[in-house]
Amino acid sequence: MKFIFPILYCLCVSVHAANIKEIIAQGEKLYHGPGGCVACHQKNGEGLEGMIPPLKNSDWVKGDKKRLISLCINGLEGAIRVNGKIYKNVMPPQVQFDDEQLAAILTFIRQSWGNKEAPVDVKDIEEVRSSTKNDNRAASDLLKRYPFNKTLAENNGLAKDALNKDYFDPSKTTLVRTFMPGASPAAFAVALKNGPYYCWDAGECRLRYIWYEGGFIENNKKHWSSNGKPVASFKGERFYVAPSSKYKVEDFNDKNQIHRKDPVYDTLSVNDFPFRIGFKAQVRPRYLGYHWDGDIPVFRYKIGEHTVTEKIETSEGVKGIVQTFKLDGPLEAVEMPLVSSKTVKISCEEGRIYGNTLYLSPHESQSFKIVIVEK
Amino acid sequence: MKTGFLVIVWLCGLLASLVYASSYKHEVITMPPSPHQTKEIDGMCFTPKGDLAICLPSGEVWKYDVKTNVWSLFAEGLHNPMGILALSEFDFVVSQRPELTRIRDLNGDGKADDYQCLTDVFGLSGNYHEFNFTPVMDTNGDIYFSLGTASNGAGIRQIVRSRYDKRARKGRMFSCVPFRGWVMKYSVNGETHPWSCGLRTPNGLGFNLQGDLFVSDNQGDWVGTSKIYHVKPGRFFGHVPSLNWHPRFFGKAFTLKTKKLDKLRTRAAVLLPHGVVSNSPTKIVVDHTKGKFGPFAGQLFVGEMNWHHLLRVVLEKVDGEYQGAAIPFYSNKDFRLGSNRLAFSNDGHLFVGHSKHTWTGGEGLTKISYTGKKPFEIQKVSLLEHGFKLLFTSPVDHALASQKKYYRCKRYWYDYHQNYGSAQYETTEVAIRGLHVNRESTEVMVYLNEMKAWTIHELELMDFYSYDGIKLMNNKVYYTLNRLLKRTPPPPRQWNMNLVKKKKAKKSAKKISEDDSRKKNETEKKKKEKSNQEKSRESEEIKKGIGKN
Repeated sequence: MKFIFPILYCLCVSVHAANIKEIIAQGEKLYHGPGGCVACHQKNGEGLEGMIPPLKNSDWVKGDKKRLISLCINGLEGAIRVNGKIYKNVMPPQVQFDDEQLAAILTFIRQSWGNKEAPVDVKDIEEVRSSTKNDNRAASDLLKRYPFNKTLAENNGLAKDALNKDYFDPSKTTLVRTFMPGASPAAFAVALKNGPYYCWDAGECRLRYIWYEGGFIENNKKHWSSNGKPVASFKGERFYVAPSSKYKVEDFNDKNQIHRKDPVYDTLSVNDFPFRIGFKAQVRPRYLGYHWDGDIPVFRYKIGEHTVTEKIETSEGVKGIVQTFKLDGPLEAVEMPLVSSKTVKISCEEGRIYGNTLYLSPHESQSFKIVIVEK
Repeated sequence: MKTGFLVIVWLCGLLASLVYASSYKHEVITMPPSPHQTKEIDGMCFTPKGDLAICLPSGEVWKYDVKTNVWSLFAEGLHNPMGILALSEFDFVVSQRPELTRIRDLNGDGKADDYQCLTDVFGLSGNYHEFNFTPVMDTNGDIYFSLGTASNGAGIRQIVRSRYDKRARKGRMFSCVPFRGWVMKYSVNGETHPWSCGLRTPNGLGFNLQGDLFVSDNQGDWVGTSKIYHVKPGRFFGHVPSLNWHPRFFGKAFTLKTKKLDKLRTRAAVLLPHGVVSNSPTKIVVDHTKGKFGPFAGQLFVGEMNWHHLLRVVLEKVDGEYQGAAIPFYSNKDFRLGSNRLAFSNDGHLFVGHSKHTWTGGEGLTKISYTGKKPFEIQKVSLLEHGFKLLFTSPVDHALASQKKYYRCKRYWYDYHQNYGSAQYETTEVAIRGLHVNRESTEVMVYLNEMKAWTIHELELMDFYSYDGIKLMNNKVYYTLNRLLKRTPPPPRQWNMNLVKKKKAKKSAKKISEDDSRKKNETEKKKKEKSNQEKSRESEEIKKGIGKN
């Protein structure tokens, strides 16, 4: 009699183990089967960077079963952080599986690829199903119900910033007015259809800079969806920077945000831009607007009696741009400061360049093109 | 028997509330399919042909065909547009952060291709709070828009448009670049005029039917409670930083004493008690529907960010100046917060655009419609020599209305000072001296024991029913009694009362030695001399600068 209990116990355990193995096998089959999890989470459970979170060694799979069960039943929407990385795709509710199948899959997931977690029972699923009846698939609601403990919450939870990702369609020319670094608060960010990206400053009526790499502006959604504090940013290095007597190139990185200090300058205190017309004191330009010429924005401004239009296009063949200026007004000479740069070559078919200044005769100044291309 | 009677009474009440509820209803309209998934509305107007146009924080203008429920994109790439005005079906004026812009479709493809800057002569420091609010047009074709001040909750940018003046970068909200806190006029001939100043966050301009311009302002520093002002050229409404750009007080705004400022300022036509009926008033529209929107034709409707209601403003001219009452309108828990923009459609519906921008508010687009059933409301309030006359939309319960116990009146006023907001001062119950209900039971004269000018009178009608047994839901009236019909006294001291108490306490507690105070005076004098010299130099420069601009 004394031996019966240990024997019974062994039997029970072996039966249980056998059961578990069967369940895991069933789960594995469903995982890899048609309409299974493998379609997104991949064969090895590693997911896809930025889109599908991993299941292998995931803090969302380990520990509390209920969160995992709930997100399978109800789905999951909204950017989340899993083991410190951000994932954004939507997970649909897994309605194609019944509770038994779901238990098998989750048990398989929790005991594969190095995961060693307690199996999931049909009872667990029933319990979660009844308690989350009215839940939606918002990640924020899920985490309100099943929050992570303090240590795990460092790397797991919502990724609010990722939801603020800006929308941008690279197949067409995009024009955005927003706060741009290194420009007055009245600035444009433009992405030409065939590149590059540039910043045009309506406060000073001139092209500020051009960049190529790292994509178009970021953080702009944060700017308009909040109350307007953030300044837009971009990742690439600036390919070309317009000359400025007061705002140095090295000021760009540390002075592009908002400050409690006094400004570097205000636009009424300088008038060395964009160019001088005639042999008299330079006049500050007045911004008039812009219009679309097909797919290209054309800026208009007034300098003294002259109305100027400025069109910025992609240069053909070479990396760079072509600025076309047209002046409407009395015939007068133009004197325009240029910038000397190691990376770009600035040329103009009309007029002559002495040092860093372009001189145009009254006739040449009526319409001239400045080409800024890679050296 | 008793319980049966009670049940009947309860049923009547229920029925009454149903009847009330059915005078106005609202429905939520689907937002346009913005690629940025924007759900907030910052500008709204109707085109002459009756299409709705809205502008979104993400910089788009969308048009909505009210008949077919179809949205179409009209313009893109605007910078925080806060208001829109339709000139024709394809010609709009938008107030975006950096300028006032005319947007036109010139090639006829239904999408804007010309963005003309009408005016950008005002400054832009890059502070987030420098909004450019709601353009409106008078019958002459002149456009008015209002400029918000900057907040010291954040800094400014390193390159600033127009002239920077450090002297006005003081206090909670500041105006360190020209004309922040001003109403601007862009006239037909293309000139821009600073029109009137002293505003803090003027998030809403609007005309009444007589063509007089009104602007709302939000409670804060120098603004004890939110207000509605009557705009006239040259007026100063009390928020000090913007006075810095007034030619008379150039660079001197902060050297003026509150006593002097109080004399300079124009009192609001209507004060909206903060936290009682309003926290953040927005757009002002006039009911020009001639009865299509119910019995309030010609009155002003004002949006409100923090409350589940709108405000109705009833104005009258006393002694040549506007004053009047605010009454809540459409109090409904299901009605969203953040009523930022209002516009009446051609067929008499009130469209409400909601917004929040990280503050209290809401999202989406709501349409409020009049069902045609007459509501039971206080239609109009007007001043009598010894009280107020209330006009109701339908007859009141005569017996009830002639009993004093159903009325309560109190008065208070708000302090004028630099600190944020103000408490209510001298809150006093005013006894009802007598009542008179007219024969048709539509008018009640409420006679008060005492009428005190330059205070707000809050009149409450408690458990008030109509002849048909409908309960009066919006039963409070907030009347800004500036002027009396006869013998209006000059405004009493209503400024820096918060400091008076503190000063008294300090005087009794501290004995400052004479030597110390003398030394202080001397050093202060020196400082003043220095700063005065600087100021005079700077002001000359600035005058030149403005002339050029």
